[in-house]
Amino acid sequence: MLKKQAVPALLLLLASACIPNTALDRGAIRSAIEASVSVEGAPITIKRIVISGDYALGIFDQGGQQNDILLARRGRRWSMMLCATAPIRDRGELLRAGVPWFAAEMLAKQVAEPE
Amino acid sequence: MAVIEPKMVAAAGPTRRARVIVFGLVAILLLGLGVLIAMSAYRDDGGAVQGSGPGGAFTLTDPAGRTVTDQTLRGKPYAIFFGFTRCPDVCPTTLSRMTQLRKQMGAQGMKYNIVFVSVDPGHDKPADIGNYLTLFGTPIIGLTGTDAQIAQITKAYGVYFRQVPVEGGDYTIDHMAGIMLFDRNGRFAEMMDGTEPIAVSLTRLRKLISA
Repeated sequence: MLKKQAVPALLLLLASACIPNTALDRGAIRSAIEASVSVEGAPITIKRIVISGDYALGIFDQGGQQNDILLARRGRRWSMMLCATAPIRDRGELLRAGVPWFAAEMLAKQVAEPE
Repeated sequence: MAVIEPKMVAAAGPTRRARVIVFGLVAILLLGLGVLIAMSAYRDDGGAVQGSGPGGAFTLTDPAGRTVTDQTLRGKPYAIFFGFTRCPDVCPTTLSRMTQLRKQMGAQGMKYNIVFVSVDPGHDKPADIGNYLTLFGTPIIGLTGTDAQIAQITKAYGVYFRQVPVEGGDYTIDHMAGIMLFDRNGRFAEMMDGTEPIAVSLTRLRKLISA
């Protein structure tokens, strides 16, 4: 009986290692955005975060100005690739900024959809 | 010729199945471990694959009007950053950070060059870059060039930048924020993040100068 349960349990454990935890990612991305662009006297309000694999696109407001921020996962950290005063939400701009094709496609698609 | 008794087949069945299951699990485990090891090696490089990273030939001008090429920089590792002198946030923050890192490294801090390339050749003339970089209190190689030269280096280094009009007919420039590290042979080593913990950056730089 124990053996029968052990095999699926082991398979589930292995499979779970492959499932990304977007809640953890969102928290880490939020912290990375704040560390990168929030300064004393100019706080930011993060409006939206979309993620595709090792790339994330954030939209934030700072002093009434809306900005886009592109982040990449490097090791265990998320780090800023680019902070843009003009939107970089279409696939072409994301590709030009160095985001791989699939992630660019997914980020552009997600950000175009209503929340 | 050996004759297999039906009893023997029945006895061997479950054992063989168990072996297949164990073999399958071990194979999955090894495959998973292999993927994890490959991913960690990939990620330790800051997301870049060795040998296929950015970099290449360029010709630019320093604040004294001298020509600087990729060959000029050979022989000493360098940390290169692309920005513009009127940048309100990312550039001064990053250059201050690089100055701080160099100071913390003591004598080792002079074993690599810090290079700043302006992506605003229309505004940043060589002398402007020289004046701007004196604000940071450490030797930084400032470079600029013609529009074509800047287009060439930014393409070779995979650097995104875009002029964005602002009110009053002026413009700002959106640009990449990462710092690229190159070894003494001009080969791309890894990316450095201006907001990562100081200790992580110091480790990267020590590794770079000892390579």
